[in-house]
Amino acid sequence: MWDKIFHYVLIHMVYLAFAVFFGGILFKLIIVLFSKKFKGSLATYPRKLPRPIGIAAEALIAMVLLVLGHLELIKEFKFIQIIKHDVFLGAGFVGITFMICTLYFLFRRFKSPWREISVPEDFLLLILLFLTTVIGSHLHIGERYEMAQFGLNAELYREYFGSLVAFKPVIPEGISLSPHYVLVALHIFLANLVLMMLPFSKMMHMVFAFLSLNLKRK
Amino acid sequence: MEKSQIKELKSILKSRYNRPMKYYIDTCTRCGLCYDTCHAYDGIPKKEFSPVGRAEVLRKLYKRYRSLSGMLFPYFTDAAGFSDKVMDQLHEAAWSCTGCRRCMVNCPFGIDTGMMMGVAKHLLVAYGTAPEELVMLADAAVEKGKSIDEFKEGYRGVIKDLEKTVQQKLNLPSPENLIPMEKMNADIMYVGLAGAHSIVNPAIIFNAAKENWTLSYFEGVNFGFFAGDPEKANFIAQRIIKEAVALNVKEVVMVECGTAFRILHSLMGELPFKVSSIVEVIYRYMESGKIKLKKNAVTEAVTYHDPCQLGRNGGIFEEPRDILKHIVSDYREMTPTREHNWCCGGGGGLGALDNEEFRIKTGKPKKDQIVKTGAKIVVSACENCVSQLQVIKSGYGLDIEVKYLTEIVCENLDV
Amino acid sequence: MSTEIKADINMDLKGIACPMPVIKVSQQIKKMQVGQILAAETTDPGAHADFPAWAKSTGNEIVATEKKDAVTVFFIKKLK
Repeated sequence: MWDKIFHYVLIHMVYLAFAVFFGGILFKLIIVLFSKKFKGSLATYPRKLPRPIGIAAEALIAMVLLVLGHLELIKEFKFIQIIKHDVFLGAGFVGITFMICTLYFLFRRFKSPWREISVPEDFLLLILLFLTTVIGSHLHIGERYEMAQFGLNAELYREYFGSLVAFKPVIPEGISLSPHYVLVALHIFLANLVLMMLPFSKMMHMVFAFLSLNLKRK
Repeated sequence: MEKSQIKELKSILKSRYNRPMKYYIDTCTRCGLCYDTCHAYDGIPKKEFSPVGRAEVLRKLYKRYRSLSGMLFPYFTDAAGFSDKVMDQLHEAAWSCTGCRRCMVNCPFGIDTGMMMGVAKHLLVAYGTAPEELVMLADAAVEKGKSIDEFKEGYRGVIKDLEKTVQQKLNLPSPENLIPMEKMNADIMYVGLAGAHSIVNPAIIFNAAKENWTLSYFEGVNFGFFAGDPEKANFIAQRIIKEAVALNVKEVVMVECGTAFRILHSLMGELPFKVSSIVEVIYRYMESGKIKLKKNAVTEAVTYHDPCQLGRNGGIFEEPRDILKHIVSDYREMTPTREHNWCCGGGGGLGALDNEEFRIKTGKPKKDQIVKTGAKIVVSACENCVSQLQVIKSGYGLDIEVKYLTEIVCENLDV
Repeated sequence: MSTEIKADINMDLKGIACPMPVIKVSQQIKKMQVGQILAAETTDPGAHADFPAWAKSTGNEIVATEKKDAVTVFFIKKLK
């Protein structure tokens, strides 16, 4: 039975998650497009940089690195390999940094004055992100430092991810027969949840940040 | 709360759910960076007096009624419906915010708490707990707009008296037409306030520069906007716009009043004339040599307080500084300054309310700044700021003098 | 203009910043009895339009105004 569930999580749910993710963002953007504009200007001064550069400078670009890192799961991209590195980037430190950050953000919320302004969403999202990263990091570090013949290499993920992108989904036997299969499934499951929640939670700031910062410079 | 009232409040929420609001509802991550940027929170560390705490009260309502996740999972996002308790919280939130938008400059996502509090004030108007002083002033301003013809005679009479003051100051032969009104095709229409200083000093400057100008019948300040009633706010602003259009003026110059400038400059959309602040005009005259100011005439230490609506929200930073640096030999800058300058705590209509104790407490960051500079004269270009700085001065017993920019310019005018 | 009007209460509003004159007057009027008269002295030119407009919108009456140089005295009668 678990095989079936994992199969569903690793294939169907991934497609569903991406559909909800893109569909949700599109839905939100369409709502925005048809909404009433603000009559006046919400600008603040001074404007030291021209609008697009100013926005890029202000918007957080950490997520760009995350997306780049995951791109390499699909295949080897030359433009990313300009700086020579092993897949994945950062030798495991990206995940650890991310974990430290999520934990910091989470523990900060237990303390005043953040405690007063926190709502359940804040805690749940951080816990979700933390769990996703812990498992993802575990999978990566386990392989990189060959702990106990971990045996889940980047090639396998590429095969799996590449098949998803090509819409011919297969789960390589290297993954499905591995004793760590459950961890892969859990990581993918949690990542799916994050993707699906993103457009409908405060994580939407990833997209709206650019638009709201634009208002500040209009 | 009654059902009909909730229905009315919900329709206001809907009508104010515009594009920026859609961003602001979803974007805030409650990171808390804005805590340190609010003068009110600095003075009184209480959740409702912080930008995020304020916005969160309104955000709860929006989530409950207008967002999918809030409607489906109210617990998850802490959504809340209308209740007397929420409205009380909203009152505390909205009427502790001066709309200085210092938090917006420091927010990683540029969320405009000032605008959100505008919506909160609108809800409070419908709920019936808007400050009655402001509602009354707004009503009077609307009434003035409706029946201005009845009041013109009396107003012109006092303006005649003021012309004599201008004549004396400039040593002119006749007081006739020194403060013209209803002059067609003037280059500048100046919009003042109720007080004599807001008309006499600019009139002296305009006459010294031999400007082709006219005085508006109306006051620049907009109590409808302060009270949070968009209909009245619009009517009050339209009075000035209609007058300017009827007189076919090229430029409308606003008195030293932050709100007056912000509303016409930024909030009324495209207008058929240019909107400037009197500060910009003085700078223009000084640069082009139309007026001459005494160089280094003031030897005491002087500092300039950037009115939020002129500086951060209007982009006027250099002009007042250049004017002051010309007149003053010891000019001192506050830290932080310009777009990061602390709000004095008197904006957003708060200065008109009976809340002096609150304003003294929340003026603490401003007081610290002023004391640090060691300046003896604090200059500002906003009626609200000047009167709030007076409150801070007496509240903390500071040994300073607070002056309008036009005042210090007129004192040091080379005639 | 009649100078015969006797004011019940006198207020000095000379030189205070906008919008305080109107606010102070309305606060004072609230404390008074219907029919009583308040004399408000002000130097604000804007008051010549603001006081009548305020009186009209709140339903009070300005029974007389008296001008001495820059100072104007408004006699306001509380009607309700």
